[in-house]
Amino acid sequence: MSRVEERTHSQEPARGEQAEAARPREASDAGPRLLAFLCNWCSYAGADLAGGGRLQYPPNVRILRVPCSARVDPVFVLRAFRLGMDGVLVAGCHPGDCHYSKGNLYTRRRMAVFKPWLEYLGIHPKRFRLEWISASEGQRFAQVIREMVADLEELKREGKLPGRGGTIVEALREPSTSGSPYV
Amino acid sequence: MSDIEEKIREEAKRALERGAACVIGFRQGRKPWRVTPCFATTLAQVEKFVWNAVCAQNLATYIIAAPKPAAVILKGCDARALATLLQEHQAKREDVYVIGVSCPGMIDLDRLEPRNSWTWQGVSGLDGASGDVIVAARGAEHRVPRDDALFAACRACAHPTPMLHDVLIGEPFEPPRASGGASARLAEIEAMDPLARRRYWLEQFKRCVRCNACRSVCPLCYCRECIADIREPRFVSRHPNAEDNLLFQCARVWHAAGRCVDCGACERACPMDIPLRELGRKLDKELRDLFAYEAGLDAEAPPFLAQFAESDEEKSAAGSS
Amino acid sequence: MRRVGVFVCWCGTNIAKTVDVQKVAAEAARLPGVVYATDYRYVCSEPGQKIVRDAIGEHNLDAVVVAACSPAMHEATFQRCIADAGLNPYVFQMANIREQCSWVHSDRELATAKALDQTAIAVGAAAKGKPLMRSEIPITKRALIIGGGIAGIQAALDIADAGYQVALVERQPSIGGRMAQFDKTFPTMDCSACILTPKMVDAARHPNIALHTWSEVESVSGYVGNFEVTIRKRARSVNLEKCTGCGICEEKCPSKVPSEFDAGLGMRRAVFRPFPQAVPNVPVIDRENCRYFKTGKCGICAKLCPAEAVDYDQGDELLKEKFGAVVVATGCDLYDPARMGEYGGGRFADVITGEQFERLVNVGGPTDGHIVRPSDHREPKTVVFIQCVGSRDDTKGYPYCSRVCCMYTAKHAILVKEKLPDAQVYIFYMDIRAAGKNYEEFVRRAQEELGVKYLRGRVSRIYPEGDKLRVKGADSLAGVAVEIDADLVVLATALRARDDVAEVARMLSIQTDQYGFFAEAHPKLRPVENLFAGIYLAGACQYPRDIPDTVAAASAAAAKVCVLFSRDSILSEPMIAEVNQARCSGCLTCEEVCPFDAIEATVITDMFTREKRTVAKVNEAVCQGCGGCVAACRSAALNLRGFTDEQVLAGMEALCRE
Repeated sequence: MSRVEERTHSQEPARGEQAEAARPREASDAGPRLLAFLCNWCSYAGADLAGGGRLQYPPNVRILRVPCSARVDPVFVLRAFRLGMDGVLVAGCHPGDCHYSKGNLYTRRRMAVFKPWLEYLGIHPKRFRLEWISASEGQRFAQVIREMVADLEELKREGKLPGRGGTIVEALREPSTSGSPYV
Repeated sequence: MSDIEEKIREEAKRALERGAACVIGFRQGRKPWRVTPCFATTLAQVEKFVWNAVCAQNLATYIIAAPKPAAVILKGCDARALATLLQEHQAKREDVYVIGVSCPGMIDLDRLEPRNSWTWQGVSGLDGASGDVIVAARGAEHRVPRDDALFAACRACAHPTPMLHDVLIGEPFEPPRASGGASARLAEIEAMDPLARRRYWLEQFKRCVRCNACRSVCPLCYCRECIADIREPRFVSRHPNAEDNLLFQCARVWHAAGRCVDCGACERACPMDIPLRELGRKLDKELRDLFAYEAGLDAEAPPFLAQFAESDEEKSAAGSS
Repeated sequence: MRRVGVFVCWCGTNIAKTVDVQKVAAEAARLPGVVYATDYRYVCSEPGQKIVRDAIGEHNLDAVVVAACSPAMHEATFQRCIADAGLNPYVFQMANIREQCSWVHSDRELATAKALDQTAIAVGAAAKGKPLMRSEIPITKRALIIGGGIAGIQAALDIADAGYQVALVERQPSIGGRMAQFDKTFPTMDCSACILTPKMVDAARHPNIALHTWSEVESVSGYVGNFEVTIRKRARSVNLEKCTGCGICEEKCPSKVPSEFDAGLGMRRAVFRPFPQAVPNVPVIDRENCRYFKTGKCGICAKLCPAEAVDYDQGDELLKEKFGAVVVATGCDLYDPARMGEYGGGRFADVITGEQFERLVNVGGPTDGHIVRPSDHREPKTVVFIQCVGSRDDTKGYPYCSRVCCMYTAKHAILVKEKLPDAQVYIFYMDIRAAGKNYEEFVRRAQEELGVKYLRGRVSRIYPEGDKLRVKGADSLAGVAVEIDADLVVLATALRARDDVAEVARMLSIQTDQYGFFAEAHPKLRPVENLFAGIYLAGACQYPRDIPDTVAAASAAAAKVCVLFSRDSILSEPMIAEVNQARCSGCLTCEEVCPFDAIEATVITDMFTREKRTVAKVNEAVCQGCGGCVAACRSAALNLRGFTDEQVLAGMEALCRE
């Protein structure tokens, strides 16, 4: 499955070396990929606490630290799915506990509107989660990751995760079952 | 219609006399059934103003750049777009003189029978009781049921009378019973399973050519540099493939969340006949159902997504999947 | 072209046992932008840090990534390390491959793949990172203290003694606050006025303290080190310099008004000092109740004043001043007992609050210190105290405990027993919270030495029975219902936030909790600071507390202020938002969203159209760097230094490499 990849400015070749042409990770690799945006003061610290307690969870998650869950632009989430992430988690402090006092209250409203719409766009609801995880909730963090990965693996087994790619070729190949008058 | 047209010309003249730098309205286009926006600065130009059932374009889109003080002819949806612009400080209320026109809906010529445009002579009027459109064509009058004639956005319109206006022309309208069309389509899409939905959207947007007409006609797309055009950082690829087109449209529609007034200008402008309104209607529905919020009704309110309330907790997406 | 150096840490076996660190280093060397990558046992150690510093020099690195433990552990360590090597500390990124990788995964191959991915994310972010500068914010070394109770007074004295100028603003005619109302204080039974008044006088006479009573803070704008404050000194109608405090005006004033200081049990005049030891000892005229101001008649006080100090034409004075820090010491208010209808508070004259009892027993109070029933002025033979009225109550009051009631009720009971040895005293309680120094002993004394009867149970109703009040309650330890015919009932009402906290909070841009108490920056580690830099909290406005804790908090806040003032300037937070004004369309959605009011509108001349237009501007001293504005901006006109869009997107794209 090939994919046209855009070269951006971040792809400067290392000195003296040509970077390999980007090839997308094959669908058969290492299971579903989960991207987690963790807010620095609560959920990232909660994840660290899970580490301190040696709580085990699947290695499918990749973590991006942000100062506050309010930093997470839904366009990032859309972009993550476009880049081939199977699941996205946005985790912040419990409402009322935000280090920046109100940031997560904006996140809460934003995501309340965004999540159902994301589903409408064809992203299965189990692929996107918003969670409030405090710095003391290491157990919870591990549990959330385990749940999400398990859900994604189930979706994958049921063939409900789109393939990595989604190019025009792939879209044409699959027969339309929507009954859409436009096809 | 012509009675409204006369009144519009009168009000436009008055606005000019009172010092408006320009009046934005419609004049006859290159074909009898087309109109084009025009910026009148003289009384003579105002004389050319027309008003008919094809004045669909949203003139609010010109307000930001227009020389001020500007007078502008706005329908219900257009005025709501202006309200959003005022909420976002893109114009000062005192700089805009709104000549509001109560609007029964605009006709989608593609849907009218007879379609042969060279025999079409014009819309004679509207039947007040049934809302049917009366078309003059082939030397006779034909009756076309409203639901078959109007744009989809007009059929779904809940605010045909401009709430924001300095002067109102035409009787205030009761919004007609919303036809099943808009919400039925929404329900159909909602009923699909996620993967089928995804394929559906990709199918729609694979024919997008990234002409950006949707952005250009939208009064609320006024960003000086669209994130889809920014190179550093690159949010959205400019390459017109289905996935990236979908990402572009999703970003555009997300940026209109809580702001879009569903005037339908984007869908009308799309050269590839893509049902652009379908993406945003779901957001509008959620805002109505979850938050009892509709865009463009209060020019003083802060933007919806720039606020929060305790009651958001009940609608929170946290912890659910 | 970026020259990134990557240093992968073994952390002994903590990381290396699960993650193939050498492989990570080898693969990292091939990442775009990386010119040097290596691994080492303990990068945070002195030799490890030397390797980093040497590599910076040898390979001319301009950004550094360390893949090791959590940034919470060592980000600061490595930032200092690279700063020592001449790099800006903010071109540093850390990949967490311990707490969030080697410690939580077991499959070596998968953990290594994740470690490499997290390193690639950090490299992507480092490649897009920019050196960040911190600007110097000059500090005006003057403190504003809002509230002249013991908290405000203590804070004022401490800051003034440290050598800084203080303005103490109090809305009542006199400083002193609640403590001035008290009679004796637990557990020592010191006379409250005796320990308070010397401090009040010190505050008034301190060369560094400017006292503004009968005044309010009207507006506060600005930021740490640079607050611009407007203080309204309301017209006293009495000249502060001329008045000698003789008291003739008060004596002769014909208007009588229920005294707030006496909690409604006594009266005061329209020209009044709240209590005889008021500081300043100069009355004010309550213009709303003064006959001269209402009808134009009277004027007796002006006629009789020997110093000719009464000045009806005095107007409010507005002071505009600059301060570097604000201490909020506005205190709290009390639960209205009328909300608990079944107790008859507000209806029956002999059901009073703890505050009112305090005034009764105070020798300067309306009954000269005699404990008598408000209805008929007879001495009570049976006194019932009820604790937790409005506290620990989910339905009619507040869920929290007000902390002081158990102690002051015991005190009140002791005072009754001391003044009326034959009186029967009962206390209905839920629990006894006596957690301070000598507190438990104090309560025990009431019980054991003085014979106060403690009944563990709630009171269901109080109603008049003859000229007494029938109190129906329970003694849950004995398992019986109890009925007491009391002469006087005292309700220990909850301490609650003042009615105007929302306005004060808005004025100061600080937050309150759900009860209206001002929010501290961290409940355990930063109890006297607010998240808004430069604003400190002292006393009951933050949470109900007794005098020792209040004084401790006030001194703590003062210490924090002195820390701030110990330097001439502070460095601003570097990872804050910035506006690309060319992209900004002036919609000001960011201004709405900012939790700290750090964004404002400003007018610029557009570089292309040469027109004047409004754009957003970030106040770099106030921005805390949450990034909420960045996510709300549709035009990507805002960016967050240190967590830029470029860095986040580069991080995401790094996951699609290889």
